Amino acid sequence: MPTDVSLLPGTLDALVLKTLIWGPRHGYAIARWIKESSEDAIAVEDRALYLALHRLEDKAWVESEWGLSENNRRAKYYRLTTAGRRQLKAETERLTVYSETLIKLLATPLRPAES
Amino acid sequence: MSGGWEGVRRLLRIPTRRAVARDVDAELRFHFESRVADLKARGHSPDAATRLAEREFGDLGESRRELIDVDERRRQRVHRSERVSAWRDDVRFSLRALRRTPGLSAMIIVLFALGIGANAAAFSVADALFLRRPAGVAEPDGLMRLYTRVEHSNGKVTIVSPLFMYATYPTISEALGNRTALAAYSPPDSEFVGIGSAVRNLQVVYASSNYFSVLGARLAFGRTFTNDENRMGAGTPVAVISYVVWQREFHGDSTVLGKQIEVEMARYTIIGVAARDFNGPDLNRTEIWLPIAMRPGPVIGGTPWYKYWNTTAIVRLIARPRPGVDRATIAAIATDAFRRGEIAYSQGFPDTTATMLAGPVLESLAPSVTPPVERALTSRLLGVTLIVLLIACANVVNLLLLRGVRRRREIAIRLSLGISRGRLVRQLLIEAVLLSLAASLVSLVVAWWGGTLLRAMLLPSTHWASGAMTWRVVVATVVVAVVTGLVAGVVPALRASRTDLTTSLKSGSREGGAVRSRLRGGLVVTQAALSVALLAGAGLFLASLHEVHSIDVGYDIDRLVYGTVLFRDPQNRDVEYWQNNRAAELSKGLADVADRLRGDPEIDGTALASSPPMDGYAAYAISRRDGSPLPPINNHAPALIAAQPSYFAVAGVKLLRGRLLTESDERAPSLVLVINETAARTYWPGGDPIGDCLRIRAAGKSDCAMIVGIVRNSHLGNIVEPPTPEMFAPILSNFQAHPGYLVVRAAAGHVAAARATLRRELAKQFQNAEPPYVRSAAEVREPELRPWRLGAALFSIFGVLALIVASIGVYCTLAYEVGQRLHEMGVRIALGARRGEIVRLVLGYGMRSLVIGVAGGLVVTLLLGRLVASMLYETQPTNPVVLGTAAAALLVTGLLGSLVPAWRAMRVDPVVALRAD
Repeated sequence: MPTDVSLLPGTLDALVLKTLIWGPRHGYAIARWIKESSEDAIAVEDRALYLALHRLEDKAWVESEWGLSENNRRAKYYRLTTAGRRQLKAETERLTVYSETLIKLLATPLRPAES
Repeated sequence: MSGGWEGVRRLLRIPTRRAVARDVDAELRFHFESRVADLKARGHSPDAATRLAEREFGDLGESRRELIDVDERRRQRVHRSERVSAWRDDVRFSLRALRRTPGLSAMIIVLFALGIGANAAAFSVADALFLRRPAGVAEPDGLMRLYTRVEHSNGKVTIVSPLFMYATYPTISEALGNRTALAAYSPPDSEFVGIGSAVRNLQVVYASSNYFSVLGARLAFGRTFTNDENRMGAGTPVAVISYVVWQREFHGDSTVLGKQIEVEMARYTIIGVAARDFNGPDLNRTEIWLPIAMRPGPVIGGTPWYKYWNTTAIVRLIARPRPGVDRATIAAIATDAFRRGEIAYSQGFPDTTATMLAGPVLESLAPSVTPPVERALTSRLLGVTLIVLLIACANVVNLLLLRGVRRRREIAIRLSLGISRGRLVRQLLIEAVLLSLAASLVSLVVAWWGGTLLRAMLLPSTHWASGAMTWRVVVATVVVAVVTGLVAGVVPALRASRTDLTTSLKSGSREGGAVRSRLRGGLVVTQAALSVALLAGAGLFLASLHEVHSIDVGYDIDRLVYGTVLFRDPQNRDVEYWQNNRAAELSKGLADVADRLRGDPEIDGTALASSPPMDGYAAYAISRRDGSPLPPINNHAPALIAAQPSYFAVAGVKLLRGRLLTESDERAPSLVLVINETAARTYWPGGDPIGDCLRIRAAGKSDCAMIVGIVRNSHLGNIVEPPTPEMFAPILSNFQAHPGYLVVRAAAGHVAAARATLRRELAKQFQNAEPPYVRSAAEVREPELRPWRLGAALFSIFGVLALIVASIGVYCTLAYEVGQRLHEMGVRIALGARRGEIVRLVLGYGMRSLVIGVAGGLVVTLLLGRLVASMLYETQPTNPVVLGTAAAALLVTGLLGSLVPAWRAMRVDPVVALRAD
């Protein structure tokens, strides 16, 4: 089993929004996508994913509609709204700055304080 | 939840909490099934796959709850805001739709306003009569009014009255003891009241000293009568005046207490001013309250009026029972006390039983056998205004249908664009309610004017504590408006929503079915019928008024004026004192005045008489030659009027046979009589009274009075009464009648001047008397015409209103019909139809509905006629002239209303008409 990476708070929303950027998907497709593209590196409980989806819908960043799945079953599809797209952009920038700063800080060799 | 509600929910797309849970479950189920299938495809066993999927998911129960919570919160929020915005949209849309057809909207609003306004006006009268409790009275619901019900031995209730003989008051009051406080007062009656140098006609009440405390009435300042001041037989002249009188007559002078006013020969000292709103427990205006001990009344056979048990009922009784004492108890105690008193003090009435009732304080709700004309009219009025409202509604339905059909294409498009029928109906109803709300604003103005007018007409003597518009009237108006709006809107809305998409889109704005056309025709028929009923009502009252007006009262009513004076003389309550001391002074003075008036150009003649024409009554014991008494006719004993011989010429009483009285009769030793037709026909059926004689006990003579002539009937009091037997004797003979009145014949057209002259001369002659009482006969007759005048006025106003509304209805229907059939007209004209035929076609359509409506209206009138029959005079509710005129009026107005559309149809240009749509 690869290393478990726990998701930082607030990042799951961005991840979920990101999965919808190519079009409407149902909840299971999103879960599978996260599992597969992170090669199971990021451990997300499915329940957290669904809660995030419903909360995003509550914030009107995604909207849902019942449709038919690839194997002809009734499934709930989520779609990014304009507000969601804007939110994804803002969140991505924030996370990029955050992670770059974090990496830079972590990469800086520790020196004795110059006093 | 029932399947029906589920269906509605699905139709209106309202999600429920259950639906939210179902959605969450379906989503989760889909997730698990997909995951398990994936895992199995990767080679996991079914059991392992399920376990793995569950582990990957986390706490399923907890998440399900959380997901449902999130969704439910959102659902509620969305639902709320959707509902609000949907209503807002609908209202906005409706307003826009109404603005698009301003003419139609205005027409609907005006029709509605007339109907509702008329109702509100009538309600404002009924409100005061039947719903309002007396103002300024503490806890009015705790008060009761006592009534006497007199029942004949045959079980027939002959009278229910709130009036009692004064002597019953102390008797009943004592019997009730401390169980209930009982107050007595005389109903408001108009008296001449001297205030400083002015004389005013004010409404005066004589009250017991506990009157104010029983009613719980407050005073603005001052005090009320004490028991000492109100001791019967030894009253103190003190007065409480109303706030209005204090303001109007004393200009709100704060030193009014201690000032004096004069009422009926006595000077009263003002001791209190009533609170601003207090008017006593009656509807009639009250302006002065005096101690009941001060009420003038005769001494009869040595007994003062207030102890006498066989006299006129003059007081009303108001009780305020202690808590826990009920009506039945009070009624039983009062009845018992009354019967004991009746047996003790008088012989009672052999074949009748009197029972006391404790009833409501409001006079209009009182038990009664025959309600007074105003009350009866008010209840009919409500019916009449209801009819006007129905007519207006029929028209509004008509116009709304018309709107709906005009917007057929628009509605079809909206339906095909996916608006739900429920939403469509709602939106159309909103339009109707908006219209009716606008109408209710207009109708409040109508009601305010109308209510004020009606009050002045129906109940001029009523004290109105507030204006015609109370909050009750406003609320009632708006509620009626909205309810009628909904009722009138529901049929058109349902019809419009049932639009069949394909046909209406195809047929353009033209209408297809005959069903709707039949409904509209039906509405015109209804309006016509109701209008005819109202017009017929107006006609019946006008006919009655005409009949009453043309009653020959037997006098030259337009020339007659009479007058008398009353002395300021406390002693004069004793009938014997009056006869011994004042009668001679009065007759001498009146004769002097008559002498002075003789040369006056405004006056054609004068006569002294014991009672005036049209007002008064004089009964003496009269018997035949053999001593047998003359029986009363129509409840009237024969009236004996003593008059100067000039009386016949002055009053215009015509001689039929024999001769009139002459001056020599006045000095002749034996009495002669002239009798009227009724007396002649009744007492000498088939015989000749002239030459016969009658014995008159008051004359104090044993010899028989010779009958010398017969004159035409004349009316003594009530002008619609059947004629009464009357006899005339010379006044200055030694017959013991005293002239109480000076009757004057005014020169043609000079009644007002003669009236003023007589008043002036009387005032000059009797300087120590009350201000003279002078009346013209026409003035006396006027109130007697009032019921018919009122009925005629009310029915005419509303009948004309209905006529206008109905003709608008006919116009609208035909205009619409023509508009719909322009295409057809065009085809007809193109095929060679003559213009005249087109006009006939349109007029025929309108007239057909009108004729059916008129026929229906006549049937309605015949059925409802008996409701007003009792209020008519010498007019049958089936009077063919009246019914015919009403029918003709409606047909003519309807014809006028259909001329414009017919003209329009005639001018259709076939080319234009065929190209349209």
